[in-house]
Amino acid sequence: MSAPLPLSLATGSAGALAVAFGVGIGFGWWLERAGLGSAPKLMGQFHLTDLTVFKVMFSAIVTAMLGLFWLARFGIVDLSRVYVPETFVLPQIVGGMVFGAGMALAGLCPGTSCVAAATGRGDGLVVAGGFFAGVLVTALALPTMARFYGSGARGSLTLDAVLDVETGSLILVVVAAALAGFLVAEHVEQWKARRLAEVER
Amino acid sequence: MSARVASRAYADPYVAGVGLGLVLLASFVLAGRGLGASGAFAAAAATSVHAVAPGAVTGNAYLTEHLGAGGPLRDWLVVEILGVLVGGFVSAALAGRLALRVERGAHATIRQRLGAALAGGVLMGGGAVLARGCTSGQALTGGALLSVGAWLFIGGAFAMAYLVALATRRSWT
Amino acid sequence: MNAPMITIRRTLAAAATALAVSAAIVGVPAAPARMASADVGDGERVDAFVARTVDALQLAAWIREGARELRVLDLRNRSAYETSHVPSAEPADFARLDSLASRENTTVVVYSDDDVRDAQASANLAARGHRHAYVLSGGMDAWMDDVMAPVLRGDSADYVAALSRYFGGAPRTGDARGQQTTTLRANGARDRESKSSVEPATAATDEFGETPRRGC
Repeated sequence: MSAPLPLSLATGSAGALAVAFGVGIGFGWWLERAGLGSAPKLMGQFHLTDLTVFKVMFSAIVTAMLGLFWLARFGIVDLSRVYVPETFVLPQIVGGMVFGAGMALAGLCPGTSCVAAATGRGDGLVVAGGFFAGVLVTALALPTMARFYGSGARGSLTLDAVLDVETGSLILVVVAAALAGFLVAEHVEQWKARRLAEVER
Repeated sequence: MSARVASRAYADPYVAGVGLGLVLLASFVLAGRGLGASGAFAAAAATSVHAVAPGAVTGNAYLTEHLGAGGPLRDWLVVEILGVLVGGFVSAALAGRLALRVERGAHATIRQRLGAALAGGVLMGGGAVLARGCTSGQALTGGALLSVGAWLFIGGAFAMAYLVALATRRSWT
Repeated sequence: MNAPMITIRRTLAAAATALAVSAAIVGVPAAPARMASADVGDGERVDAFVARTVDALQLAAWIREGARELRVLDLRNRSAYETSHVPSAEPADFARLDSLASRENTTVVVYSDDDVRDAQASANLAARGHRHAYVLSGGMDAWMDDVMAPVLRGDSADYVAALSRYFGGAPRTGDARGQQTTTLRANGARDRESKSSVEPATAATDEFGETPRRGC
């Protein structure tokens, strides 16, 4: 059997939706376990006091990246059937910036706002509501910026193709950078904690 | 002595990250796609617009694309987000972290906090539509797949987030 | 921090390092099976040189699926490339072809506005050991006609429409490409009418009978 399971399961059918639900449960579980359903903790990332967001995100990226490479290598997954989100250069840079500004104001992202809401946090509910409104309004306005929205289309472009390097080499670079980043993060947190303690004295 | 059970400490971030990564990997393997959040909201938006003004949907490619044939409950991302709600709830329940409150900085009023939450949410909605995803779909999933656009998104998002956080740090102290 | 957690962290880091180093040594994950099953005619190996071709729709499907080891090279001049090009294509010239490492699993598709140039490029690639080198049959024109503004007909209409819209194209129905058709009225007079209708965007299904993948 080769994964991903036959595409007839991938959308709409009961099997696919069961997978969706199960995956969602795992997603929500780990986000809450890490404390990312709490806005003050998330904001710690941007105040450099608590770099949990960075540690969780890049541990997850590294895990999934390595896992996918090796499962593909052993013929368990057919990579060409895994959907890679498309690249649209300018909209994703600009959209990213707008999103980041919003995230720093809200203290939560869409996924974590759902976790927050599910655990009783009123701010999570409001963030989710605002997100819904923002999506709605922007979607309705999209035809007026159709040109911008579709600009820089590159299809499912991956970094290894653009940089013209082997996938495995790029993975090594990313993992090395992540591990180095984790070491730096630990130091930054300790330094910040010492500074805050000094200020309080 | 208080009779309340103290809430448990959070899991180690690296362990949680690996756990999250394994969930993401399972998604790739079993469904041929990664995680997401904004798409579920887009499906909800499309469904809402369709209920009120179907014509507005057919004339809008984005909304049409997110309006599933069988309704929102047959949309992969919507069902996934329902799972997120359940998973988050159960984890908090088991750890004693369920609480009805508005989390905010020590000196922020509830009104200020909720105002910022609303504004931030709206901005994120706009950004996610433009970028075709959010931190779950682009940063996490796209990042793991080495998608160029995802890494551009991560760069733009975190750069701006640090700037805005710097400007608004008073509200969290 | 307690000792077990330190151990766990170190173990995770060590495992990640080992897997990453091994990945770099191995280089590439397995080639996607789909590439090998592409329908390009006789399916024979390229020994004596015959340019293998791929049609625009097949290329579009490969791009959309995110086939990982796919390179699309545009051999036209720079201003033509900048006007419009196949999504994910890179501008290239023959010097670039020479420097393109021939990796076992890479599929290269070249196109230009000149059949001879296409054939030469393809021969060049094959001589350098690229086992999966193709020419986009019909070049950029074929892309514009068959993917960006395809005329939908028959069983494949839904699939082609979905594929076209994925790239921001405008599929259309009708048996003429925006040409005028003539109808004969009862009294013998002729009516000319333009027949270029663009299908409104509805959620069509792709070749697997599913709605096109949405975002995240």
